[in-house]
Amino acid sequence: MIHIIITSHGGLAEGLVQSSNMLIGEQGNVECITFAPDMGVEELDELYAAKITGASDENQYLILCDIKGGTPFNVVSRYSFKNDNIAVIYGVNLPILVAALLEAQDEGVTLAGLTESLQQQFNETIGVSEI
Amino acid sequence: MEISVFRIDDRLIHGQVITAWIAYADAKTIIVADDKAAGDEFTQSLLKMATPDSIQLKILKVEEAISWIQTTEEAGKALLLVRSPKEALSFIDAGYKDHVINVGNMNMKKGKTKVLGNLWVFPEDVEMIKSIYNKGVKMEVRAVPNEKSQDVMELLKKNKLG
Repeated sequence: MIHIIITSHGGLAEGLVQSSNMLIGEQGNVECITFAPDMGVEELDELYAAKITGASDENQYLILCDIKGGTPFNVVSRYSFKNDNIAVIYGVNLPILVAALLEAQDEGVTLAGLTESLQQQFNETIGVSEI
Repeated sequence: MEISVFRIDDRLIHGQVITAWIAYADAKTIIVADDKAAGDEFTQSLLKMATPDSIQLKILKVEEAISWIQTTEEAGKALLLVRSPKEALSFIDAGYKDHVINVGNMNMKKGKTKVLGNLWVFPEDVEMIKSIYNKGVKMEVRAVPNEKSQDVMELLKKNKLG
């Protein structure tokens, strides 16, 4: 199983999930971790440690972060460092979240396959409208 | 090399630094002076990834950073980042006394006392801060450039820590 965790500065993570619920309905495989103002790095790390447990080939994690180099990204990257069963994507947006939620439920999907598929979709998810 | 911003931030390079301080400092280089980061492969990959491609990044032990800044022939301005007042004091002892040291984040940890949301101090931090002031250098809390600057010693006194 691939678990999806969205993590952001403030309420973006929960907002993205609410928005995706409008598009594809509620999905069971997603959780949010909010980095709140005044929260310390240790406290944030405790939240990650509680959710990211026992990663293995059968129990993989895809973590979607708001911005590269921000504190949620920096702290959670420790988990994916040299661990093939945890992947981190930064710059998450609604179409990528929706794709991740749906594709993570495909039969036989692996974390490597999922991240590769999402990577191929990045360019289509943001741009200047030609209309 | 000119150090245009000298900042204490226990998160080192993160959102506030990337989005606001690099431009404010007009920096071409970020110097992270931190013994722990200089010896840790993970922290180095993270700092490299967080740094925009147009900015040169130097991750050095505190003593190495002091000598690199003194001897480099590179021109341009740099943003100097250290993790705590202890490292800042090493720079002051080496003669870097011309800055008001910016304090961005000294975050909550067990055993610390809260001064502000982004300023928590261990008793040893207070001693280091007093030593910094005793050497004639001031410190200000300011997470992002357009925020109001607050003098660290005044804040400590208000909280009966100074």
